[in-house]
Amino acid sequence: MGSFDENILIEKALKGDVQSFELIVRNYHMMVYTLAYRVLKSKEEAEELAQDVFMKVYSSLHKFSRKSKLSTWIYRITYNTSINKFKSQKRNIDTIEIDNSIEYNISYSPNAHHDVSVEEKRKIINDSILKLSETERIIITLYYYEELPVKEIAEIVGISSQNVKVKLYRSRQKLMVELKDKIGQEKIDYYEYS
Amino acid sequence: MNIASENTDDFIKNAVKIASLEKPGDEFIPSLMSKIENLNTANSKLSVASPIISWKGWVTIGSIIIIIFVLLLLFDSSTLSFSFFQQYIDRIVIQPVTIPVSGTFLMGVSAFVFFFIIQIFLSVNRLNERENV
Repeated sequence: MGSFDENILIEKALKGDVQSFELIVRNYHMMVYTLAYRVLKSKEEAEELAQDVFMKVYSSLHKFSRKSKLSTWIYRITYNTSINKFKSQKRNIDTIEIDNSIEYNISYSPNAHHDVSVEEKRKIINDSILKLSETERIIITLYYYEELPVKEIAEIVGISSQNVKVKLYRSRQKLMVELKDKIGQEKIDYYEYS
Repeated sequence: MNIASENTDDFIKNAVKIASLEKPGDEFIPSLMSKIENLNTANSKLSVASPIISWKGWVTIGSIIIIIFVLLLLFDSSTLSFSFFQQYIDRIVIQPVTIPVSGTFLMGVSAFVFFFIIQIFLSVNRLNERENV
């Protein structure tokens, strides 16, 4: 969706056109939900939080200055809301549950990664991402999945671009080590994910 | 970026793409839009809320008061004729009890009755509007 289309949708939504706002929701709901899930690690809480985020977006759409992209603004609200909820819950970053799921699905024999199915592979990667710190999870998702520039990610998570680069480097190394052991590099390089 | 880091970058990029996005439940959007609709309805009800007496009403009331005040100031009370009110009052006053009523008092009572009736009319309208929302 182009920024021109988005501006029209924003204008209509501001005038109370709910259908226009629904188009905005449909465009961003999966990313908002994913970011919330990657911070909270709970599907139910992530769904609830994603709904809260869109309610906030709708209520304060008139405050959106349009200096940044709508996506940046929505992701920043998502990040802040998720982190606030995460901090209030004081959860542990590395949960026993994740470790168990990986141990259960993957055997550590040398040829184990050759038999990993697509769904298993997806689960392993997701679980490995969840082992990073909550900000690293968001940065990794926005950088590699959404392919946002570092500057925009810095704006979303509220740190400097240099800091984003450092976190990106560290999380990349951590993920590399984690995934190489579990999946094997050659398998993932030639995997068609489209 | 050297070859090793480029490989790492590609590897992680592929991995994150494979992980893809999480999908919320099927009821996510309908449930959210229903909340938004409710919020919209609540907001529109709030925006409809208006004072019982509108600004036009206040202007009318103000004008009437000013006119009465000016009339009382400009004209000597002896020159004002309240014969109509006097006749009316004479009819309803039960003899032999006669109460001396001044013109100013009559004007005051009339104005009070007038505004009281207006208030009833406006309040009834207001209550009807609320029931219709």
